[in-house]
Amino acid sequence: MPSADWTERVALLRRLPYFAVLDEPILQAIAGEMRCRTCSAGEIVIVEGEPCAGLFIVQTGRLQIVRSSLQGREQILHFASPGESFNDVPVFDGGPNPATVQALEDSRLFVIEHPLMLALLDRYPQLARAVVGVLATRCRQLVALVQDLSLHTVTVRLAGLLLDQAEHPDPPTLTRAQMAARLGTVREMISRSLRELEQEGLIRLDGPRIVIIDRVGLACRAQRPT
Amino acid sequence: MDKFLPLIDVVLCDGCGLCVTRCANQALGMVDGKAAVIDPERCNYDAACEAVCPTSAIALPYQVVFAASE
Repeated sequence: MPSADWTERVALLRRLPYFAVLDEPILQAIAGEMRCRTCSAGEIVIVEGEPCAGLFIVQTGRLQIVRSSLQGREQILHFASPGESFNDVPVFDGGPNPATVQALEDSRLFVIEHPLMLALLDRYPQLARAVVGVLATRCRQLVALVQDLSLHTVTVRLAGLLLDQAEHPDPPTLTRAQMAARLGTVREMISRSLRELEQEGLIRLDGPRIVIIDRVGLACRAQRPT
Repeated sequence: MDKFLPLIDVVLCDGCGLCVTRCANQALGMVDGKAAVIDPERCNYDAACEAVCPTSAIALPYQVVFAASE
């Protein structure tokens, strides 16, 4: 009978679009090949530019995927939560890690090595199709990010970020520096934009809470459909 | 809910004391040469300490919520 850990591994694989299409015996075989890794909040898991460290799957915790400039400016590309993967691209193109990943909470991860993923792709065409689908989704997200960074002001982007945060079922807190890293700007610009939104009567700074007092108005400011 | 307080990164803090001088409520002080929240009850979360910190060692976490009427 499979152990609880084994059952959890298979259940985790089943949550990923990549592996949900595969049959139970194949999932069990992959589960046996995965390497477990735990990391503490704040720990750097992989570093941008280093050789591919494999495909990572998050079982517990939360991590941020970040690109940094030489001047120390950061752009958060996205967050990885339980049931999601990261470092997908180098697993398939053999290149270096495209971004640095840092744990925001104590996290438990599983790693599937690059050669195993390639072997699985050769054997299971349904997996290859699922991979194409996931990469296409990531591509759309990056195109949306490029559009956001190039066409919208910081205040417009901040309005959207605040709406996303408030709508999140379990929203983590955000500092001004984290907002800046999400929006590709600096902390001072975030302060200025928060003041702007407050003066427009869309939000209110109430101690440690940013209260959205005009949801529709903020959505208009974010150039989103209301 | 626990009271939210400024987060101070003691590695980044160079002990310049600007935040302590700027805090209108004397919520901050120096402990072992580093800035620290010494009186949490006095902190009014005005972010003056964060704005003045030259090493970005201070950060205030925020929750984003809809107003009850929304």
